[in-house]
Amino acid sequence: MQNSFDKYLQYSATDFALDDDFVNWTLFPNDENDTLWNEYITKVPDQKKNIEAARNIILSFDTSAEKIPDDIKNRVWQSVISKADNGRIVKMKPRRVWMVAASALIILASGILYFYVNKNQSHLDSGNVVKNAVLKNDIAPGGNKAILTLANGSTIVLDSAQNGTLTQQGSAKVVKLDDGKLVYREDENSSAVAIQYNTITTPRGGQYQLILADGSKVWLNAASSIRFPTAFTGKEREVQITGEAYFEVAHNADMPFHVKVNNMDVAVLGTHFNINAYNDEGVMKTTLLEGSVKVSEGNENVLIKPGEQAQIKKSSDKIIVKKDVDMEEVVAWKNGKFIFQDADIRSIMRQLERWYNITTVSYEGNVTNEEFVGVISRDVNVSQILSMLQSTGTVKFEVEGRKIIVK
Amino acid sequence: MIKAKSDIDEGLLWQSFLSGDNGSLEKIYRIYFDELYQYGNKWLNDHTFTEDIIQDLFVKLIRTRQNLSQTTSIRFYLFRAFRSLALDKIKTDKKMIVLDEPGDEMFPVDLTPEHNLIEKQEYNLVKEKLSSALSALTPRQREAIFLRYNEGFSYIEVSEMMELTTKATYKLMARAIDALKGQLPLVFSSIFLYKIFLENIF
Repeated sequence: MQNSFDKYLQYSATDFALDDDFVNWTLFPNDENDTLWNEYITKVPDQKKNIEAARNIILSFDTSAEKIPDDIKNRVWQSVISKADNGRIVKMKPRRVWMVAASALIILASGILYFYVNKNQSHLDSGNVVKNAVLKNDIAPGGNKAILTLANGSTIVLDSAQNGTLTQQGSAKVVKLDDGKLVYREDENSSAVAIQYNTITTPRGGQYQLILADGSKVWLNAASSIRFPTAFTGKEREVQITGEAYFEVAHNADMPFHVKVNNMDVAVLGTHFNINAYNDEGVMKTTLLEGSVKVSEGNENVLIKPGEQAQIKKSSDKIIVKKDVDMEEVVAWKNGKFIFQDADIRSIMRQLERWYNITTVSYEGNVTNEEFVGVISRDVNVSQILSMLQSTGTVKFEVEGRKIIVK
Repeated sequence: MIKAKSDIDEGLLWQSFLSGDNGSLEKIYRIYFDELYQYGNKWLNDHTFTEDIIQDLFVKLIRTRQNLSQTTSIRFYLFRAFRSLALDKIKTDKKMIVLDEPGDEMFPVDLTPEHNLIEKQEYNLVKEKLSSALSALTPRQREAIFLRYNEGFSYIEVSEMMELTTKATYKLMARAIDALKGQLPLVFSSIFLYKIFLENIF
């Protein structure tokens, strides 16, 4: 090794920065190479300047790895598994309410394993249901559907609208992309100054994604709406929603972004969060995935951190903050899944109603109070979900047209 | 620094995945997810797209398991596959207009409101210096430098990834280093450098 140092006498800083041994020492120092190189530097002090310059270049790009939140990691892995198995996610397990919480954790933790163990069984269950003819007909899942209402009151149906520029709204072009997304682009050639407001409304059984003029992304769940300006000017960006939406707000410290829902205001600079404010859900929930947001209602306001959820009960101004919320469950809809965690049958049915455009759900007799844990794709027909719930032996369904009776 | 070497016997892990053990693949996934996610996210500036590519990458591994060969460096294999899947998708996917015209607004400065004024000023200063140094580089020079110094890949790995000869990679790097010499601010461990650099890469 001593000999090999001879070649470094004539090295320029660039030569050092290109040398494998030198780069290895700089990036991955250990006792051995540290000793050798320090010894060399003492011997040839003239080269110290070149060595420092080379190290500065290399270390300018040497950074530590961030830790990515587990829920992102788990979510992507779940989709790998489900996609590798042709898009079928099947995992549903009843849990008796009096069971200790730990058992739920074990069920969730063993989810992936469970998926492998249970998938055949669940397919079997779907078969049984068909044989037993409990379901007289089936309902297909929702899809990308929405209605765009322009400032002048005219409407465009977005599931059938052709791709490309749909219309010009004030200073913005409204463009529908190949994948169905709607984008608002600032039109530099336009001299129009008037800000116009547009509204996108999803029906039951519909969802939609759009990119606002400032680059912020919005996912709208079924039976929801968003009203927004076609271009953002002034000191604030403001939109209004109903139902459920997930936001990825483009950062702009000079122009805070506000989401108004009923009397609630959510203020952000640039961040990722989900708001669930369906009228038939008793609680309005704002869940933060990244960044920070301020939730205000009446005189109350709270700042929430990632992993936290601000809850506001109907007919109340109190804001309750829940910590360690399961992010995966909250944004499951946006990722094409239903995730039920300790969900009772009524809350499950409310989600199914919206996605499958079910007109009436009625309950007959003593309907179970047990809670369910499970994950399933939103792409399946309603029968597959019902049959899985039914296979737990605690609940039965009858489907007639778009009506479901729960027994 | 992202460690290029790990304590785990990669050959064995890969072999066990090839022979049908999905548990091993999940292990591999969990070891490398953070790095791939960061690499892709900063490069593509779109975490949904990055997640899609990572997802496609691992789905592809499961589906083509029978045709895969042995590898000595899983990390290199994954990065190369990620890079080529992302490039393919960008080429075929017209929605990624973002990449063709990266304006300033596409790289929002990630400073939280808690950062104080001095940090902001320092950040802007460093950002300016590094931006001007990096602007002298071609996108390929930036990518080579990034893969070598940030990701710690060897010259041979960098050249394979970028589909160049080793000689051409050396040349590319040498020119980049010459251009950077004396231009870089002397801030060794600034937390900002990474972000600024990545805002200007590609």
